[in-house]
Amino acid sequence: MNDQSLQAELIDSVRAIARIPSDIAIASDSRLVEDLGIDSLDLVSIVLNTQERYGIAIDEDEVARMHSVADLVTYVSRHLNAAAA
Amino acid sequence: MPERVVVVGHSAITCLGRDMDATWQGLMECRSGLKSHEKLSPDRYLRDVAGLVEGYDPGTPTEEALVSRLEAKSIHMAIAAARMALADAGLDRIQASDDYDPHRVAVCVGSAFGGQDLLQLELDRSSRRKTNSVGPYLVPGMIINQASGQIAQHFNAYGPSVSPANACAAGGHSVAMAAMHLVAGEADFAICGGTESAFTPSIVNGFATMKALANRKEGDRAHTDPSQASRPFSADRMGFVMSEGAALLVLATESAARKWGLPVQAELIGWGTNSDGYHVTTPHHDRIAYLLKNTLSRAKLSPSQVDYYNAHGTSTVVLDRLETEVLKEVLGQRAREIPVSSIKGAIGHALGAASAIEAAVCVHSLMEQRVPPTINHVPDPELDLDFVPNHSRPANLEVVVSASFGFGGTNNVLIFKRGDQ
Repeated sequence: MNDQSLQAELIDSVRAIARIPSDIAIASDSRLVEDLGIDSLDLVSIVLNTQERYGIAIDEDEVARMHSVADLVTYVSRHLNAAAA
Repeated sequence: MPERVVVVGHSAITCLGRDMDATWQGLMECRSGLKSHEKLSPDRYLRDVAGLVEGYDPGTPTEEALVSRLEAKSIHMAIAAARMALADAGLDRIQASDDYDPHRVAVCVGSAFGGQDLLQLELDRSSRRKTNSVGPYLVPGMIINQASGQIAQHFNAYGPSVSPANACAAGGHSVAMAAMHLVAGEADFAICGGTESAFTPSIVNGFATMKALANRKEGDRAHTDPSQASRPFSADRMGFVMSEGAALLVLATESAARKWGLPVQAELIGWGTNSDGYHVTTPHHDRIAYLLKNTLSRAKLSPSQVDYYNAHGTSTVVLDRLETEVLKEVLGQRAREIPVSSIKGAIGHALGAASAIEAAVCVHSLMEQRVPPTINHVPDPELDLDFVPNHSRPANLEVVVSASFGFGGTNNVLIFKRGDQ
């Protein structure tokens, strides 16, 4: 999977889990808390959903460092590539 | 002189229907909401007959969107029941008024098991993950007071709140606690009752292995017709059938109801709770008799003034006999003159919601002047009261009594009087 389709998938799941209305655009540089208003519980839900969906383990400490959609995409991509290597 | 406590609204969600009217209609038509469910598959569940509520399922289009993150069905049903009860009371219309004070609205909603269905869901999800993490909404969705909390949050009720977890008596305890808040002057209104959805393998199988649940043995009438598995006060009764549901009453002080011009559907003239102090599950005759006698006495009622007794009537061998004997002892001859019925034949046992559903049905009975039947009834020579077998009927009702008993030896009695509706 390339990063662009991975990003599209993750944006869809962020929107669904955090119940973000369709009229609010989500881009790569959207900040999860500041721009999208995602609270701490929904942020954890997004991370868990991502773990389950892509079969990766995400360290809880890493969650604090995921500020934007791009951070999430980069993290998942790196782990998927590492698993494939 | 303490304030009188009145009922200004009520709602119910049961396996007979998604609201009070549908539930009432089902009861009057002597229908059963119990059947065999594929969802309760034999590879995980020891029983497949149950009373499941259609709709309000988290994660489906029928869920309550307000609480979609909290995937406990009991919370979804509680929100729906609150919306219906508040609309029934007309409270939704007056909430925008300047002198309506949300700090004077209490919420008391109980449950036996809370979000155990969510726990099961999260355990299943967790087993598929590479870490031991569970969803962040597990804890807030599992706690028993979250139904009260969500009602307070979404319907602006900032007064006192308690959430009794008194097993199969939880809903009635909640009504009693709400009434206490009103007479103590702590609130003008109270949204109170119970909610329950506890269909997990551990809970169903736990009830089954302790021999509390009816079974569909070959040769039994429920073997071919599962709707006959729950048969309170019948000679061949053999345990209860688990169900789910929710019911809420909106209580008000009489002065608040008059001030806002809300119709008085019934008056709650008596309530009481006590403990058996006896056994983990077996009820205690003397304690239940004491509570019934004492609650009637505190309401200044003699047995001759009771017009209908809505029984706990679970369809278990021991409890149905005990309840019949208690009634004969406390009400004397009057026990033989009045209708005594259990709606659990039709809707099964909704555990922590059961007594709240029964309270709502009692209010409806007073308004409609009809009593619901005990369906699937086959006479037991030992149990010789008028159990309103298999047909609902009109009745002159001024005072009705409902009682509930829960594991852990916890009991309640509620007494309602006809209102001006």
